[in-house]
Amino acid sequence: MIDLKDVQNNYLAIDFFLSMSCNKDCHYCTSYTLEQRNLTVDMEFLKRTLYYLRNYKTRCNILGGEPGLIKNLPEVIEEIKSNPNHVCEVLSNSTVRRRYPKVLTDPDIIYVEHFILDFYEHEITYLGPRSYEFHQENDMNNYNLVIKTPNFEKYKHLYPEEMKKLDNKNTLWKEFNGRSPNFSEIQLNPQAAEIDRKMCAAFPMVPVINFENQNLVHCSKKFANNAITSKEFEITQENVDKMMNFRLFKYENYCVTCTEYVQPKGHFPLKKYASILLE
Amino acid sequence: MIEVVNNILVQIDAEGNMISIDDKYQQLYLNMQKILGDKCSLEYEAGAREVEDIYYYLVEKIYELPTYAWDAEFKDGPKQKLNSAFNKFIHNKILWKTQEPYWNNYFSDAKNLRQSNGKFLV
Repeated sequence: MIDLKDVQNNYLAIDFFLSMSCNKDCHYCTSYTLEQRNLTVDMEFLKRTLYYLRNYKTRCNILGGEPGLIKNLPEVIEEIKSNPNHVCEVLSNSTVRRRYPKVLTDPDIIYVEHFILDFYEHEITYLGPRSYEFHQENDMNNYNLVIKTPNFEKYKHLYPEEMKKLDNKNTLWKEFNGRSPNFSEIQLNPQAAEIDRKMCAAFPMVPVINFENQNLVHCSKKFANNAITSKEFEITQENVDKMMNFRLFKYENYCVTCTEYVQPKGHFPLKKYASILLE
Repeated sequence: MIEVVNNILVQIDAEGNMISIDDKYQQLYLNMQKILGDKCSLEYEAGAREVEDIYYYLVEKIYELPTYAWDAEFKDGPKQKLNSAFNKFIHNKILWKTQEPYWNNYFSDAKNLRQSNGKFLV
């Protein structure tokens, strides 16, 4: 069984944007389209990509869009799991729980669910059916993901019971839009220190493999926001090798002007860099 | 030039005087010693070796945030590259006002400009 801490410390995360299609339109999300397109993954492309990554400890984050809409998702997951160096993570708005419940019972898949849309004065709105409960503390690697939206900061004190249910090791808390640690400090313009942006550029928060265009994208933020097109690379063994050894991505112009929140301590601990630099 | 006396960094000027160096650089040196062990050497020439950007970023990050250097064990290859990046960083930072490191294109360009019109344009 895989251990999340081990995965976080020793694996490099790569986002697999299988399709940009989603069945929800969450206000905090920038990477979706309601148009239902590319819902079947090109297995030849997936196999080729995983082959290039075969020697690297990789955490393959399946998302998009909504992975629950993908018609051959079980096949995709099996393909990823077939290599012991790869860990499969699925990020869903609960559609996967409804459509592919087997994902939740497999402890070798990290299943992360955005189940809460937002907090309001009179209710918490959910993305899935009300009958679904939050994931309780479990060893099956099922996690609740709660985004600390402005409303979360404002109204969380009104829901002590829900907060108690979420207070366990299987809840992951995510900063709102990745920009600021909490609502009171939301400022869109200030930048992270230059050195933090440089380190982020060397191996971004998560590089993206875009299954729609079949290429490698430097930064998921710029890819999703589409403000400036993020640098794209062809998927070849050479490019993948360079990427996994921090030689592919450079400090680009959009990194110079980037205002996304970047961890001041560096998004990689030094220990992780040390274990990855292979020479 | 920069030398180590009693495990403390000091700058030696052209007349042989010892000039003390900022505590933050001392801390960086101690941290690099901790990471690199016996691979940590202070040599002007070591900085001339070009290494991948990530090594420069790591040294700069350790300089900015000393606690970042907690128990990381690098292999020999990355250690040597990290040492080169460290030498380039520290020589560039400390000697920047007094000498022009020859490996830095930025400085050599400026030098050429100065020679051509007699002014230092940096």
